[in-house]
Amino acid sequence: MMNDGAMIPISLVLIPVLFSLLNLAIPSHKARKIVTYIGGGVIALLSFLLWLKTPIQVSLHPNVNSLIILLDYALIFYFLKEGIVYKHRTIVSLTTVQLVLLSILVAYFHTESTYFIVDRLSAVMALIVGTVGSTIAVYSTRYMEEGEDLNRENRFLSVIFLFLGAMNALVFSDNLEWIFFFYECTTFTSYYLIGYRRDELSIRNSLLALWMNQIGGIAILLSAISSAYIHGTILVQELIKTGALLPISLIVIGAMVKSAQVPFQSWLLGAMVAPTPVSALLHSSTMVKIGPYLVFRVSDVMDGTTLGSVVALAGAFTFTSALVMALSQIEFKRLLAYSTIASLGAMILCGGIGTPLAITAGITLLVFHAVSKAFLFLEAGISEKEFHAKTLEELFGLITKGPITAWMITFGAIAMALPPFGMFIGKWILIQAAVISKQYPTLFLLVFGSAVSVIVYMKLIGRVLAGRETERPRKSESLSPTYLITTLVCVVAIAILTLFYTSFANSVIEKVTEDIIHKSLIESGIREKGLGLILNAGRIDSWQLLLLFSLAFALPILGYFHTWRKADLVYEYTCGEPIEPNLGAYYFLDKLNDEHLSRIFNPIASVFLLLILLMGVL
Amino acid sequence: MDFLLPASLLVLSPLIGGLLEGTFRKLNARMQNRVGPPIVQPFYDLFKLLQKRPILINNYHVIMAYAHLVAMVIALATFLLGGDFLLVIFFHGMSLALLSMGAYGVRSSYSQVGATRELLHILAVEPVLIMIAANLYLNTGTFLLSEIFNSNFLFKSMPLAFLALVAVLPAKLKKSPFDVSEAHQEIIGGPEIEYSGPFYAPIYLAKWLEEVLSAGLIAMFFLGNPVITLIAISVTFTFVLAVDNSTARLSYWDMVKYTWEISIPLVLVNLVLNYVGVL
Repeated sequence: MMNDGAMIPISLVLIPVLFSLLNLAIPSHKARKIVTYIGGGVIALLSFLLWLKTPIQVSLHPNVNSLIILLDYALIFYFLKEGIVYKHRTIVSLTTVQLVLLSILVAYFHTESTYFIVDRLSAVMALIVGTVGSTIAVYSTRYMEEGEDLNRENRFLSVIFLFLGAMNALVFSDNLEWIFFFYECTTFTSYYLIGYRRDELSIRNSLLALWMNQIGGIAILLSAISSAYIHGTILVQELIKTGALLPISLIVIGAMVKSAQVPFQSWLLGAMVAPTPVSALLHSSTMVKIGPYLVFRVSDVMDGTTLGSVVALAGAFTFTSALVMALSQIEFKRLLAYSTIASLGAMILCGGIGTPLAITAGITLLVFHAVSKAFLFLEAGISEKEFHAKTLEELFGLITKGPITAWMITFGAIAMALPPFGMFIGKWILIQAAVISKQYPTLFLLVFGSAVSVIVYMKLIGRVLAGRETERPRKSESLSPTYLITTLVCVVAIAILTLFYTSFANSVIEKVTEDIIHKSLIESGIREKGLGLILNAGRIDSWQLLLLFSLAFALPILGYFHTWRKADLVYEYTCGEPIEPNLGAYYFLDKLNDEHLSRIFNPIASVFLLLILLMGVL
Repeated sequence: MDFLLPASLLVLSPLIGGLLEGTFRKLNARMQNRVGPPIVQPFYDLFKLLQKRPILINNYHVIMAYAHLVAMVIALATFLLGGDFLLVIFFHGMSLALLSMGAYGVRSSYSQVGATRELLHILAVEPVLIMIAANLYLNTGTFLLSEIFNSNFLFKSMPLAFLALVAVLPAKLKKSPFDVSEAHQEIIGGPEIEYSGPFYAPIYLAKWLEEVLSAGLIAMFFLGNPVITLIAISVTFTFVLAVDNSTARLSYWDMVKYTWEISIPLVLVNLVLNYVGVL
């Protein structure tokens, strides 16, 4: 069943690998820069082509199967070696378990299925990986020039491209054995890049990420074995048809590990020691999206089941608890990490509810989160390299040093938390979906979390904006073109996708949703009217979207360019106190310290995990 | 006719809001055995503010004040024109968020403390309102206010949800015991302290609109007979003012705690009662 687009998925896997090898081989930084630009462009273009040609089914050479098994063993032995070198007992034992399980799978339940199946869900994931991924790869060529060892940069870029290939292959695979392999590949890239700086903390955190993700790998392997043993298949499409809950609940657990859902959140927080492009690419916009991706894959089965409700509740719990923990964060990147965990929780919640409306909300969140959060991480990288500001305290008054960066951060935070941007639209649809399907406990956690997210992001804006007209810099900071172009690409993408949300929903999001729920969306009652959206129980009108959109853009534009000529400039009144106050942000440390909170949240979340497993067994 | 009434209410909302504010002040004075200002005093205040010398600390501080007003207008318009109730709640929250963004934008300790507290107001009010929206959906099958407004006397099936709304009104209108973000004796107006003259006017106006919106939320439960609607609004507001005059300010943490401990269980019980069909 070859059709005309068959070469695209294959090249989306092989071309990144090719560029990975190229980058490894090229000794000069400048040459690598050019290669990365070309590679990013080609991959982005191919991912657009892929979307146009979907659905595609490609039959690969039968030997690919053997090759993957071979590489799989090689990878597991590499992990075993790392575990032994670092004397890490957990890694050694988890790897041994993987080795045994994989051998059982290969020996008894091997399936000669060598297909890449690309439906719209895979294609939209590949689109995110291709566009956001290559933007970040380009950005990283500039980021690495400042204060990093350029002699090792070839490995960095090489692993980044390797990741793009592995990620694409994962979303094209239908075979659980392959999904396991590519899942482990992303674990490897994540492990390598977290430990990239080779200092003690980096190595410790990379080992933490490794063993936690291996639990996810074990869950996927167990899912494959149980599915093969009970239902005689390791193909996800066939598994969905059987409606078997045990393999599905195991897939969900694998998904939750990869998405760093509570109680697994610590590996993602540790991952923030990696260079910022890594956090932007792997740990916010793409790799951790494997979680929602896998949940969406199986969500059709969960719709209306108790398993679905428990998954939704677990997602909602992570959403809220991660945001509450974000309140106490002083480090910018850790704050973003917690909010990433929360957003992933919201997407998993959508998959758990599983109604067409919830899935629509989930895909909206998936796309917009990838762009907005990658954008905020890019800004975090810029403020780290250009202004040496890593914490919210150091970001205080950034506007007097770097107005462009300050307004960019402001815009990013608004795009994450406030109307009318896609993240908000997604949350709005999600709340409707939760109310309509009468999931009240889930709804309650969701509304609480969404109010907390406003606090988190407004606090961030408050830090960068604190300034004075008299201290307004004559000249803005000079940012390198690479920084400017990559961040502007994100801003423009967010703006266009929000303004034309209805066309975007019509041509992309709803198509993806239809592929997930395997039926037409007509009865779900989502209709477009102008720029607005009409749902069964609610609506957002064009005028509301347009007004809020102009308002949101007026803030940074007027804030940057406008001055009141007729007004007199004064200092703060502050009741006449003559001393310059030392203003810190409020971190709620007395009540909401994340270390204390995680001791409460982790056991609760573990109960949810057990419940998910239990629902699978019953 | 369907469009005329809401549209004219929207256009007249500054007028209605100003009169409401004037009445509040009059009532407040009477409760404290004072004569109080004339009812049109807020309008005098507004015009006086507009004539003052414009002074500012930085430009976006002022821009946020206007943005705060614009977002409030959008929220009120969405409400009056029968839009989605969830959107009204979010737009209102956005308006508060913009005010706090402005307040964070100056290096004044009172303003910064006030900004954080303003955000906690969102935390106290927004979840309760959304739970009320969920309860409304259970009763009316829609979030669209245009359809909710067609219902008669929703109070009958949602009395506890209405009480929950009354319990969050002090936090929403910044009345004691939950006037933590303004807290005049303590942080001297919080987010508003650094605004003056014509640049304070948009915030002052937004406050009136906030009162109109609150009146609308109360009215939503008592539609059908205009007399009953008006009585319900006056009784509720008088109650809120009486509480304002008879209580002392609690800490911001207590605000979140008490509004939640009172309101959320009320809505939840109402939800359950509706769900099993008792109410």
